[in-house]
Amino acid sequence: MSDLKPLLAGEADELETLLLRAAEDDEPARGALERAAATLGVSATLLAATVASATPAAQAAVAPGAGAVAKPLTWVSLGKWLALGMGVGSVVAGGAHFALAPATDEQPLAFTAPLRTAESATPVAPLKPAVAPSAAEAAAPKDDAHAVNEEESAPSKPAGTPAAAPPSAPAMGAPAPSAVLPGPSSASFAPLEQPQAASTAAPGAEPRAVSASTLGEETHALDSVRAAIAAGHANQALEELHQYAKKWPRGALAMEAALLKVEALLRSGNGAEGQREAEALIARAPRSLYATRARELLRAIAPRAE
Amino acid sequence: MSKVPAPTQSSLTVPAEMIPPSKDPPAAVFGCALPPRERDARLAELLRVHFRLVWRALRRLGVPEHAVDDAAQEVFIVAAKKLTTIAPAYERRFLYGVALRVAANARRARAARPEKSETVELEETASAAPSPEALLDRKRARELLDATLEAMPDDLRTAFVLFELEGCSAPEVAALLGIPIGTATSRLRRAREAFRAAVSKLHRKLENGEER
Repeated sequence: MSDLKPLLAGEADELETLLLRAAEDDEPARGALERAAATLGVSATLLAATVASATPAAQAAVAPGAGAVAKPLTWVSLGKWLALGMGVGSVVAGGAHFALAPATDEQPLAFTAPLRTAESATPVAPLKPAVAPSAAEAAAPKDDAHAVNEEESAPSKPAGTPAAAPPSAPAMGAPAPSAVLPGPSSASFAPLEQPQAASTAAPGAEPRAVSASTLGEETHALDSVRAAIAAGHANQALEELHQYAKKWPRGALAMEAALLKVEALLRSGNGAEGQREAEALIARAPRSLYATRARELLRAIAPRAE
Repeated sequence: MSKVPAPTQSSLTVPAEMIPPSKDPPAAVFGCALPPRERDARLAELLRVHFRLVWRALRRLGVPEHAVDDAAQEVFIVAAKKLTTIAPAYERRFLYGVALRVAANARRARAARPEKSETVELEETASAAPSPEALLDRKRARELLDATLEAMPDDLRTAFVLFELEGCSAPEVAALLGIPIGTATSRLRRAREAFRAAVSKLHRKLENGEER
């Protein structure tokens, strides 16, 4: 009997691992915990006072089986699936549309890999799901932290309500802008500059700007940045972003990187520069999810960082 | 002699019924009724450590997204009422036990009033070739996972979620489900087979998609 080990502890193949691990960072919208506490008559301060210290324990408790085994699969190895998908790349199934900026003078979004869909009501903090509240606290006095939670918390009803993402998950939980258009069936792989000359893009119908492996590496690099931010190492995150920009000056995930830079700057206490970066990003694509997210970051962090 | 009924060790198994609401839990196995301050502190601790865990388990057990916050609250309301009977080492098990019943109720409610948009049929999702961004998107991956789970019979799904996703051991699964360990193990194996079959079907779809 004891020979039965969880799939993630050994036998799972790539796709199985991908699916199983997708569950790991699923977590309630911000504010859900506080609402539950309120229902139970537990004061917010009592809860908030120790949320930060308790989250590692919570995480340890979350998946002793899945977490402990830490299979080396990252989103990098999704390159294979990515490659499969790219050949087809025409249909976004199951309503997983991407809200892209309307076709105006703005650039289309860069490849939106880690962006989550507009209708999602479940923000996800990649890698360190439990860090969001502590991050909020780091940036705000306790009572305010709660206020922020309340303000940003998404109701559990998904319909039409933008889901606020925890600050540590800038790219994963971007709420829908007020006017969300269903995305075109295939996203453009437009880097920041020279959208048309997008690296290796063939001038064909199917955008194939990025090779799967490159994209995987980029994704991995930004995951690492996210982890650094979530762990409170904003300066390390900035350094990694610098490396990212050097390595991929026209990276497919450049918008994502720009957003992470905004967050890292704001969190490192460099509010003024963070604000400038945010404004530049917003100017670049005012109606994109990135802009929405940047504005949200400014609202959530900037006033206290300055 | 004593009018006080003997306390039971019920906390180690799944409570069968919710006990009547009471602000002052009766004296029980683990000490007398807690003073409010201690009660709140313990509840806060319970919430902090386990809320996400319970929430996530409920999702995978089939509670629809719009209902999961309430369902998680329900679990902790039950826990709050039984707080003094929950041994610290069995908190997680207790909460899972309640969560299983809450999730079963939610599934029943959903079956009685189907909401098409809530669940993505595996058939439907896999036939349309997922785009790269969809595949890289964790939410999308979760949808596929949920569709896979949805296709399993409830008993297999429950065992699978507890063991494969929530990290419960096989004996824990057996205890939670109130079944012999041999039954639990065989259920886990069948659940795994069902999961793998569904995933390889998905796999084939993806590869066929490439050729289109």
